[in-house]
Parts: sequence; C-alpha cells; structure tokens
Amino acid sequence: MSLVDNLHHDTVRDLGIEPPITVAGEDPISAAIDAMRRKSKGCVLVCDPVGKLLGIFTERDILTRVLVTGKSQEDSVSSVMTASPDSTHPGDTVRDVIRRMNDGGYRHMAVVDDENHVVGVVSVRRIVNYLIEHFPMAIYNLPQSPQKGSASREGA
Amino acid sequence: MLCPACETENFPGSDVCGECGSDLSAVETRALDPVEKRLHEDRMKKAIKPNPLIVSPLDPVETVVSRMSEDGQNCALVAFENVLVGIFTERDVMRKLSADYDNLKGAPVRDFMTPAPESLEADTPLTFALNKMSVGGFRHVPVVNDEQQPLGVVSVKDVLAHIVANVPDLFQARS
Repeated sequence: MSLVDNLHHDTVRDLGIEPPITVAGEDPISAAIDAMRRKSKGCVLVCDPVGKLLGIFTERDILTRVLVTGKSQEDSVSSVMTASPDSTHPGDTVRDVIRRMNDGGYRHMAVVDDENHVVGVVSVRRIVNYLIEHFPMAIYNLPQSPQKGSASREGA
Repeated sequence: MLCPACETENFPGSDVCGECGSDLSAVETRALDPVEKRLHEDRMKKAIKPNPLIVSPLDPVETVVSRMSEDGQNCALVAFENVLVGIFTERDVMRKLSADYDNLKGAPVRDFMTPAPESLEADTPLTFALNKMSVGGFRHVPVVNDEQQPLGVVSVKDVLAHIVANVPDLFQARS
C-alpha cells in the first residue's frame, strides 16, 4: 500500500506515541531542563495534578525565554511555557498531524485523550522516520556519502 | 532511472550503473512511491532555508545564542576561512550550556560545537539527507559547495515542509 493511502488511515497511535516527560507548573525551570537533558528529549509537558495538559516547554524556549532573557532558573516553568498548546489525539490521522505540525512549525506536539489527559508526545523526527519506513530500500541502500561520478560517461 | 550511489541517470532496466558499476537490480524491482520519487529527484538546495546563520569558531557563544534567538535559527554553522568546521544547535545549548550559562557564555562557540559535521553538497538528492537523519540520527544536515563552503542547512522540519509543499496529492481530500 502506498504512503499516500497509509497517511489517510494510519493514526497517531500507529506512529507510536513517545512517553512524555512531565513536570508540574510550579516546578523550577532548572528541573524541567535537567529532565530534558537527562532523557535527551526536546520538550517537557506541563501537567496539573490529575495529568491534564497545561503547557509545553521546549529546547527552543530554553534559548529564547531563559538564557537570552537572563531569567532565573529558580522561577516556575509555568512562567516560560507555552500555555494551552496545540495538541493531537491518538486517533487523529498521520496526515492531519503532519499538516498541523507543518502549519504551526512545531517539532513536538502533545498527545492527549478526550479529557485532555496527557498520553504522550509525537515528534517531527518520528514522522520523518514513519515516511522513511514506507520506502526503505533506496534510502537505506544509499552510501553514507554520495560518490560523484566523472563529468561525462565513457562514450557519451 | 537514477543510480542511488552516484546519481547518474541510467537507461530503464539497467542491471548495473553505467557510471559507477553499482548494482541497480534492487532499484528496479519496484515502482517508487510518489513521495520517495519526489525526494529523490529534488536536491538539497531546494529545501534549504534562506539566510543561514554562519559564525566564526572564536565568536563568544553568548553572541551566537542571541543571534539564534533573534534570527529564529535552530542552529548556527561554524566556518573558518569560509570552510565549514562545525555546527552548533539548540541541542548543544541544552546539553552543554543550560546548567551553567552565566559562567560559560563568554567562551568561544568552538568549545561547544560539534566539529567536522557530516554535510552534503547542494546537488545531492534529498533522500541522502533522509538517510543521514534516519541512520545517523542527525536533525540538521549542513549543505556545502564542492569547496566545503557552507550554503545552509536542511533540518528534519525542512524535509517535512518540503514534502507538504511539493507533494500536493498527499493532502487532497478523499471522498
């Protein structure tokens, strides 16, 4: 089945939802950054005590909202997060999530259930890997560095 | 039929590449998916964002971080005498700087960059970038000319944007 066909019926659930790193809004910024660094993740989700999504804080935000502004890392993560971020559902199609991530310029989107409880994260990297899984042969057969041929072929 | 190893166009049905001798039998066993075909025909230069941030190895990292923030850049290419020598990304900021930024921000960016990053030339098919991103785990692939001068970067996000913009059938509504 072609990629275009699959995009219409595969869902975020089929992509494989990554378990999120979650923090509370009152946690210090330093704790959020520590958690991202330890797990090599590009974002944390900020949740209320029952696990509902309040915000997202990304590695881009570390630059723009913390380091460049001189913000104290003892301040709460809720003061630098993006509140009420765009999110997706496990049953949304991959096609839909690709379009929304591209339109929004997101690298990560929170995945939530119908009650806005956090289920996980979907990343642009995961989506590109999903695309590659549909046409592995030519890509995986490519050499690490393309070898340039000579300018003209013999006899050409 | 394009040879995946040397990018030479071969006659359809060729078993080996007339240029480099690579085995083409596997390439010929199936029709390319339309998205894959598009990515193999399109070149790195078509997916590059304009105005890359290019800095010097001795620039203070604080200056580079500020410019990444102001210019909306996710990474900076580090060049010495107009030759690519490194890449410095938001991930480097998080991993190497964020815990002790006040003490580290005066140091040169070369102390924190990834030196000698793998790069691709502007006329390389985009599928090569996908290979690097998938197999190598890179999120940014620098694009250089044949003298290793930096021209720009293609990121995972840029690949997705390129697909969305250039494979219109992908997003047509179905009845």
